Amino acid sequence: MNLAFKDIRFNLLRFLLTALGVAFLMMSSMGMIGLYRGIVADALLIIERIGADQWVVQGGRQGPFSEGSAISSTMDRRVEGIAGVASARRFVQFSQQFTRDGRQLRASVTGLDFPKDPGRWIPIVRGRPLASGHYEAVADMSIGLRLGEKVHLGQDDYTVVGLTRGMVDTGGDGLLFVTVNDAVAIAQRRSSEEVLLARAGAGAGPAAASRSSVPQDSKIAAVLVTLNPAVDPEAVRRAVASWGDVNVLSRAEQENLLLNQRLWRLRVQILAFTSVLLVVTGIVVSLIIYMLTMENLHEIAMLKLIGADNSVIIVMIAQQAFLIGACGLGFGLMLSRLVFPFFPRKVLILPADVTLLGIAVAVICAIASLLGISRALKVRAQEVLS
Amino acid sequence: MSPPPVLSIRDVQRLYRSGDTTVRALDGVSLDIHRGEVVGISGPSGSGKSTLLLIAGLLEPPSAGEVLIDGRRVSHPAADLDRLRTFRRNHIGFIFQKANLIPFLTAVENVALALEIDHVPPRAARAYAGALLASLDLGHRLDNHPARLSGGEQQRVAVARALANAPSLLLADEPTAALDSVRGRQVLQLFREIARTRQAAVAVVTHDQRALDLFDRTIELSDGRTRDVAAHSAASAAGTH
Repeated sequence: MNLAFKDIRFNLLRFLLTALGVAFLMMSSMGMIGLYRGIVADALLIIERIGADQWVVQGGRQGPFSEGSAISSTMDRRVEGIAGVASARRFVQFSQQFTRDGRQLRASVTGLDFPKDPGRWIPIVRGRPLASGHYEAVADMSIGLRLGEKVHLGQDDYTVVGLTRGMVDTGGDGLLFVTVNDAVAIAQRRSSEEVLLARAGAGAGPAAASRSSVPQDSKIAAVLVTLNPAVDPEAVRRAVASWGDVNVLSRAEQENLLLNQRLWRLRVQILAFTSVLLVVTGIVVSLIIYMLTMENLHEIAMLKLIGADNSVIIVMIAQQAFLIGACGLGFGLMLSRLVFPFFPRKVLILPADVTLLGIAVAVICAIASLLGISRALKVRAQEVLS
Repeated sequence: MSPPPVLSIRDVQRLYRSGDTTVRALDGVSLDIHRGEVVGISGPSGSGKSTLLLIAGLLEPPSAGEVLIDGRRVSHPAADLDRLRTFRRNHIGFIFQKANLIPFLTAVENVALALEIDHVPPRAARAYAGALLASLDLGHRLDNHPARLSGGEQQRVAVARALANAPSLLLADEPTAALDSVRGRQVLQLFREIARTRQAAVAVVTHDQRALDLFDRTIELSDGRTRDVAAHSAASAAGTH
């Protein structure tokens, strides 16, 4: 006779509510871990998807993600001249806030070096990639734009021709892909007052009118280099770096910079909070299981009185503890899958993390069982009479 | 040679420390109960009745003296009673004022549990438990949880559980206290029947003076000592008819 199952079936509502409580704790733990994974995934998304072997950035800097970078708008042609370089694409990315129907929207405008790069690497879920050098955009759904919609950026209107899902920058803003030339035009938008001030500062004349009071010689942040398969990456790096005005970063270096420099504090913060949450979860689950044992002390005394071996009592407590843990984890996983898609930032639940959390729950349940079992074994049979 | 008494308590003392003083709960009590005998143990509150039952039931060791069950010396001041759990399971059945049934088990499961704990296969345990309950007129209540049984029915389930392992000794502590006089008498008559048909020794601690006529004899405790032993010939007659 399985006493644990009998008790659970008899007190099903209590068990379900308890498991639901544990499930919410599990969901919170999974959410924190998933948020961490999501931030890392978002940060690495563009680096991994864009498929560059090397990033040529401003000299003495480690841009464009961990710090600012501006290079010559013709740098791609210089890079293409290096032996072993298969292709070089200009890259630009900046945050842009704009109004639609009276509502402020945010996007991370990302330039594609059209026509060399029409953005076929972008996972488009609706619509098509860019087909024109101007006034077309591919937008992530998280921005809130619709397919075919026109959006006013800088001084021009752009038609949304394609939609993506989950393409965001490190800050969680959805990516809005336009051509590099359009991105530069959007970035160089100036107010009339700004132009007047620039003219006054540099003297009247048509050349001054095109200059800004804010230094913005180039909006190109980097050149993305794709290497021929047989080439030695170090040779290309040395050749480009020898120019002195640029720095070359490999894909691995970019990833390392993002994770261990720019996002380091955020990652540690989330991990620390996750650890605290796991400790709290452990304490609460332990207390729940201990209290369940305490509720059954009279029955445990009765079992002892009728001669039950300790193993009967140990199995009953351990089974209940592990069932609560397992159901809590299962319900928590279900709740996570239901709830987290509605969160504004990506919450990534990986099977490996769920497995690790399962192991943590098993350890917590084992410790909680031991507490309950040690209390139960101290119960004397004659306590039935009390 | 006559068989040994089922329960033999010899010169048992039980002392409790209470601050600086020592309380003598039992002071040199001796008692034999034979097969088929139903013995009442009465006395005022604090006289040591329940302590005597705990010692007889191997739930507490005596401070001095010894307890023999079926001729085996099983409890004495140095005895490790936790190791006597299996012995207790096979030789002693307990019934209390409250039925103390396990609330999440049905009537038949409460009885079958006592058998399964003794390694009887589940199917056989359930079948025997069902038959036992049916013999106590609870055949229609097998699948009811305790909360759905009346007090008298719960007590009969407790009796069935106590009888499940065919113990030679039944110990009952105020088993009729929670029942009305009619149902209380029915339970005690059930004990008489069990003693007769199963040849078990039954010791019943009771306050109920109206039930004394149903015992073969009554031992009265006062201040931890046996004060009087009264024989009730009428009880034997009542039990046999």
